[in-house]
Amino acid sequence: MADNRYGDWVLVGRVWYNTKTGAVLPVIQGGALPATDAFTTGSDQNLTTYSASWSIQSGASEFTVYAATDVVGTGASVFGRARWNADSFNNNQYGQIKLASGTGGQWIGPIVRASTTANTSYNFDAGIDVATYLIKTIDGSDTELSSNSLVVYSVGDVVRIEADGTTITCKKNGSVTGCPGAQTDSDISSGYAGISGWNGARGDDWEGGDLEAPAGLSIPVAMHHYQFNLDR
Amino acid sequence: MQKFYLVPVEVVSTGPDTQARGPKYFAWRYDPDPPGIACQWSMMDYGFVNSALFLAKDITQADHDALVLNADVYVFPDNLDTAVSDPTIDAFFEGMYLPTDWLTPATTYRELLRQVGGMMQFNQRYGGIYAERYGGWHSIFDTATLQTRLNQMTAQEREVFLAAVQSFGYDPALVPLNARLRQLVKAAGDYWAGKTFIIGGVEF
Repeated sequence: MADNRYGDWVLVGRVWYNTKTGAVLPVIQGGALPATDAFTTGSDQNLTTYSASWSIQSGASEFTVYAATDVVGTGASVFGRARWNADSFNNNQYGQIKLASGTGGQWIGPIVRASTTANTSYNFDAGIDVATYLIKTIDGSDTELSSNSLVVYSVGDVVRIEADGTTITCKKNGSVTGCPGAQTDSDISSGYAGISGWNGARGDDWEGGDLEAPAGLSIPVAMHHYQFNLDR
Repeated sequence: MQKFYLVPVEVVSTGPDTQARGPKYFAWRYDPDPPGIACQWSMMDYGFVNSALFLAKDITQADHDALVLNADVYVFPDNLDTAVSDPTIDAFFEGMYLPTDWLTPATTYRELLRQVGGMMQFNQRYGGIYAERYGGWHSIFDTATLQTRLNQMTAQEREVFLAAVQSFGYDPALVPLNARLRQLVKAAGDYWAGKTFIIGGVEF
């Protein structure tokens, strides 16, 4: 049996199509990190129609998956964030995406620790010919933590954000050089990886996963040593 | 040159349920009163208190000189390892809910900076937990001052406060409910003793 056909069900792009009933079920990926998405589609679609593995993070704003170039982005004047819902992530996690197109006033980038109950996440808003930003969003409140306007990004650059304990780090092509500086931040401790988009920039080859712990690293558990010292 | 400051956070409404926050006097994406000072900067917010620890990595002398004329800006000295000697520090810091009654003549600016960082981290976590459980943008000091006792906060605020305590590994049962917030916030900042803070990639 071919991989794209199971009984009456046929895999067509990002949906399963039942040849007898005409029913359509979106593909749900999951179960093995890193999660990836190449945004391959036969027609322009909303992200959540294209794949049920994505959930919209910020209000009604939507992403579009574009068939011509198989990339993801928001429309002009549209701002959005989405999280990958098909996998659970460790608290120490990353998200990354490849810049596909954009110009001044347009951003796209990865997010981490996105909440399922609020518009909450850490976001690396990157783009081409724009300053780049590390943004913290708490229930729709964006706080700009850090920025970098010294380095120009290009099509094909892979931008990545990592949340490791209380350290949030942005990277471009594996390096922190040219990125908003790393930050200590304690607001958000868990959640999902995803994407952020703004005003028409587009990205491709998204990936989200868990950060690997260095060999031999143990989790500090000596917290009972800390007590509130009220004597000072 | 590189400088640490305390600066106000300005807030811009971006929609019915959204807002953007950035540093007053500096250029940022939603800057409501451009042009702000253009430089490479990072800030550590005090949760939803509209004040932040701010690092300007390459501010010019002229911009710095103009910035510090503003009464709502505090500048840390270049040498952080000298003893705190600024007579205005109590009024300035306590005005933004940062207790200073723990300072001694031997306390250095670096110790003060790190303590400020720790207290900011705690109020960040408070705001994050509050938003996750109940929604909205909340600070420990929404309805309280440094003199408020924990048992004078609302039950919901107390619950979130103790959840924040627990999230840092403390036993909330050890927190005295009649303690003042100035004591508790200071104690929460002590969690960071021996740990590294990073702001804009710079450790302190």
